[in-house]
Amino acid sequence: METLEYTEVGRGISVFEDDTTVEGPVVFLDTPQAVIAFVTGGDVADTIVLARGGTTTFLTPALTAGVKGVVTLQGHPESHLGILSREYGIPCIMGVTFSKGVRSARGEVIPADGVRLRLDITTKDGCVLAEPGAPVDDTPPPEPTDADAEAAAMAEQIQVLLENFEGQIPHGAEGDKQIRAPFTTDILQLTDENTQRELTVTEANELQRYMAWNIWDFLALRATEGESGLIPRQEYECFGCIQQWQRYPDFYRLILDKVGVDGLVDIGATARREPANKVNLLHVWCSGFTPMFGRALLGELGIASTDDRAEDSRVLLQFMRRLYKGLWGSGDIFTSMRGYKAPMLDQVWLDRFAQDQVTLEDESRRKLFNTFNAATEMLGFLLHFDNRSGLNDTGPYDLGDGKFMIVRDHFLHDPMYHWHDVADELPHCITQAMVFDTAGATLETALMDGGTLFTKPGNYLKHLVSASVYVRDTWDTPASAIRRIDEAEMQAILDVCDPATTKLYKRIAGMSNRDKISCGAQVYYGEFIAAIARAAGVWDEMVNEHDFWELDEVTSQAYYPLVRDGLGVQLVGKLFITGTGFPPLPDGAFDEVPLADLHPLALRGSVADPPGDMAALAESGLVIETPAGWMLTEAGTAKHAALLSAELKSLDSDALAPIYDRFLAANGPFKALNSRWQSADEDGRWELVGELADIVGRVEPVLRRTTEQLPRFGGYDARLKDALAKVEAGEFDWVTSVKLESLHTVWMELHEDYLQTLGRSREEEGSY
Amino acid sequence: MSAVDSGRLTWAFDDAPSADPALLGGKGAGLVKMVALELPVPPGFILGTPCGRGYLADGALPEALVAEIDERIAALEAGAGRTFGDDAAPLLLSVRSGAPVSMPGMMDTILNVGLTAAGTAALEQSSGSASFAESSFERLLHGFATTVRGISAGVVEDALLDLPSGSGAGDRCTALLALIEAEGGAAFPDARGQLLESVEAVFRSWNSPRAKAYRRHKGIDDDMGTAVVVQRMVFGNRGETSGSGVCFTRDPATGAPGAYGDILFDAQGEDVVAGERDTLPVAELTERMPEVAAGLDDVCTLLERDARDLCDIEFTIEEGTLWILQTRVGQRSGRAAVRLAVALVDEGLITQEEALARVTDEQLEAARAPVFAEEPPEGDVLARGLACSPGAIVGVAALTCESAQRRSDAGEQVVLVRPTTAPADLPGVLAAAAVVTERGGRASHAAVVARGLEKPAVCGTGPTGIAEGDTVSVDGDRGLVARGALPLAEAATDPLVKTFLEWHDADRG
Repeated sequence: METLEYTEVGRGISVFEDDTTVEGPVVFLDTPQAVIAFVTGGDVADTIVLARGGTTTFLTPALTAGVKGVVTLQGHPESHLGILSREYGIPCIMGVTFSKGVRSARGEVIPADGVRLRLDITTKDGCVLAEPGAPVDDTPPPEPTDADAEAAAMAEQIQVLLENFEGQIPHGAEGDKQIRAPFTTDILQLTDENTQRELTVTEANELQRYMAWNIWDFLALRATEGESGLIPRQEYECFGCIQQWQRYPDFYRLILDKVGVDGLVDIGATARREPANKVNLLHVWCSGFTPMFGRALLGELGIASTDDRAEDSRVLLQFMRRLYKGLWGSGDIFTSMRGYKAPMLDQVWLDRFAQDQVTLEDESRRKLFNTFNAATEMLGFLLHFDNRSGLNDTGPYDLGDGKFMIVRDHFLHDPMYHWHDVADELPHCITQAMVFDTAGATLETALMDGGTLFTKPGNYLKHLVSASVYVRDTWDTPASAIRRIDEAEMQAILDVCDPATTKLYKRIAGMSNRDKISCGAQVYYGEFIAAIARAAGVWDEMVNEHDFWELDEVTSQAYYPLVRDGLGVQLVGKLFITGTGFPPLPDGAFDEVPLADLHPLALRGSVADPPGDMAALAESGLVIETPAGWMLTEAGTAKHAALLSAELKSLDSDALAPIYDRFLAANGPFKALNSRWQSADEDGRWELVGELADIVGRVEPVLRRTTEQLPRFGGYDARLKDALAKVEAGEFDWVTSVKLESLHTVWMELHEDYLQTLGRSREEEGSY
Repeated sequence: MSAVDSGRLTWAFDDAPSADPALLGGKGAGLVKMVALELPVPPGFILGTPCGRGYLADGALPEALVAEIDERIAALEAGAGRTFGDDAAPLLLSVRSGAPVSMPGMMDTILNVGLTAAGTAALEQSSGSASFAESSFERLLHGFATTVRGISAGVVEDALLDLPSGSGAGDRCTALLALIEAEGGAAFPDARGQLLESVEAVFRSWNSPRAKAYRRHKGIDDDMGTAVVVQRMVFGNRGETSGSGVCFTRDPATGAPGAYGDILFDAQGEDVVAGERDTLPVAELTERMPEVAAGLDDVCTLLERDARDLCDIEFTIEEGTLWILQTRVGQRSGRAAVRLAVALVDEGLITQEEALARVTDEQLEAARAPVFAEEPPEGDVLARGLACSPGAIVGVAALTCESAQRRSDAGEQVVLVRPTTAPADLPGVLAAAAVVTERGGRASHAAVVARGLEKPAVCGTGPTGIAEGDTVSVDGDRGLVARGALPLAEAATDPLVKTFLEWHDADRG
């Protein structure tokens, strides 16, 4: 006999808990076009939508239109979709595995379209039930293949790694305690002393170790959110991270040159002085985390060693710390060390917000606020290409009697993105000061380092008792002009928000994959430095004089493996989950190795008795002794390249270029002379001696002027003259012999030195 | 000497009484000989050594000499259809020293004498190339400043370095003109002034400290004096029907007759020797300008018949006309020396005794080294390049210096294959038995070093496709790299070498 009861067909995780169950027919949406067709069709408000992945923006129109419920096959409540469905108050069960149903085009078991589902979210353990008589496809599932078994084993392993960092260290306060227990430095504490000076390798590595745990603690679950139907976010994120790693270090140096360490700390303090500014908790966190992640990605792709450019790592990490110094003043650097609390705004703002509070007892007023909160947050995500940087929370600010305030920014229009034309009429930022009263109920809050509030249980909005809303019209509107808006203006903003969201959704749905990645990477790359650079007054210079928006060569190189070959998605997940996004720097990475000690080895290949403390350099793994003499190791070659490139940046290359041109003007005649010399008899050689002397005389001022800028070129003139003196005395081997410090030997080394120093190649110059 | 007795002080290349180095200097005598052979030599004249001695005694050029120079110039003008000092179509000259014995400290060549600022503008018009005109003038001014006016090369260079960034040849000319006036005592002179000052500078250089020291050291008579050679300039960089080259009178490796060497079109000789541009084989000339090619082959025959030996030639083609600038007995490898000697006997140019006398013991020793008997089938040729250093080696390819050293230490015979060579590659070159580079010519560092070390080298091969560990054969005579181990023949199996050894043994026997 057929049961007339609803039966359980699947289980997943409730994004928030609620006692009311919802029911409605289900529709499976698997492309943006299907989403658009759905919302322009019939009974949106009564329908439960089923989507594959857990990313936010794919379901944007459905959420905006107000569907009855959301079910996903993949993903987790910490994902962006989880956050948004919570704000909309739309019941949502994520990561559901269906036991009964029909097959999707990809063979997944799902309920057939039109079947009435019931969502039970009374506990975190969400349950999906289906009406009696729902179609069932009984064909046995395909035999598990080896690949399936592998995937299952992998999934099991991932589960272990999701529960504990490296399978050992837990989330939360206990994890924080364990991860830093073995640390020997106080680098997680912000002091005047350790933010003024540069980091040691041990400090940098302990900081990075903590960062690996911190990002795992915050985002590991997000790594399982599954695929995006609209925006290939993980692809553009890794692409953007690499571009950051390639270019941020020099821009950070530029900013530091402009404002100095104290100026940078002061920029970090913006987060305390004012809301509605992108110099905030999230952006400061990203200033160090995301470019460092780019370094790890390049290592994984095999494009560059993570040991390369240690000085750049040093600059990035300390740049982030200096911003945090301003943000917190002193003490613990991350919210994960501060009990996941981030109450940073100055009291004057809190007093103003408290005074402006409007109670939400009135149901229509509450509804307006909730819709406003959800719609502006939604658009913020979409405008930032499904990226969290449109959202930032601070708090909780304790108000006593079980009450607390959260201050939330939703960033909308930003002139640096061309697609923000859809939001031209909207302000740069909405700030919501929200007061909660749990009235004795348990509500755990965790304000993560990424500037996002999570709560247990998930539905915190039911504790919201009052709010006040403000706008900052443009990014450069003074903080003093941040103004409160009333319900009429909230409604007016909402009226613009919804069509803008629809318009942008459709525009993005029509973009090519490459376009989407390009725009997404533009957000990732521009976002985390622009506000800081604007504050430092160098943003226009970066854009106009330093080609800020141009892709770095290495970034371009990474595009195909990351995107076309799909490595990006795999790597982001892997680095988040396994905590390998921050590989340690090698010992001695920041050691002050004099260029002069490595340079002769780089020039000559091997040197029998070089200057400098070779034993110490060998200890650091930079040089090695061979029968032919001392040579650079791979690490030594990388170190030498880094030192040279740092030197090149400090050089006045405009002044050097014409000097080098004069060297090249002498180089052709010198080489012709050598060739003539080798085919001349003794008589002919005597005739050439004068020409050799002229050439040596001719390069003297070239070398003198080079030496004025680069003292290490000081020896060449004397070496050439010594060789010339031998030649003039009739010792003709001193012209071309390789076994002597002959004119040819010294000249060849001199030319090589110019090439290396100026970063040129023989190929581009055509001189061999 | 009757010529001197007759009161003459100068001789055209084609009216000198004899090719006497004591009178005409080494260079002058050589040119007279070349003209006597009816080689196409750019016309010119020689101021004999007595003029130099006279100048040093009196401290001034005698009026009679100046008058004679004017006459000589007039004759050159008539032949060239250009006028010395005429800014519209100037006749340009080179002036060089020519002592009977070469010595250091003598003035170098001054090129493009006769060019002025106005003439440069006209040259730019007529040649259609600003860079050609300006670089010609720059070259004259540079030489004039340093060697005629005695401004040190360093001071000149300093003046050029003071120019703002982005300056071109025109700016450098302006700077040099100012420097010549400020540091050199007087403004840059007109054409005739340039010539006379250059002549005086040659004579003065006889007494330069460096030349005097050399003569003292070598016991050369201080009164020998120097001659001066004045010659019409020809230009290889006047478009695609012009060019410059260096060649042997026959292939030194195989003995095959006919010009063998390198050419660059639209370039001056310096460009060929400096190896900054990729040269073409002289055979290319046959395709492009068959008449010039035939003329060059004639020159080879004439030269060999006279010298009865392999010669090398520097030549320039100016707008389709071949000019021979310099010739001398060619340097050759030991095996080439042996084969040539036998070939020349076969051709009746020298006797068997002369052939035996011409080959040194060292050359004979080198000739005994094994060689690749035959050119490999084209399918086995991995790359062809410039034959930069002779010899035959079969070895294992090493693509890095480290592996070259490692393989060499392990007892392997190594062929170092590099895109280019930098100083850091030297340990690899030292460890290798032969060198192959993808880029660069005969003057590249790799070529200079390999020749110095007497190791076979083939340069400028382009991409070879050779992988680490491949066995390859490097033929430094033919300029090719082949796959696998080509059969090495004992030198004695080469018929020409075998004949020579038979003569040699008979002679010793």
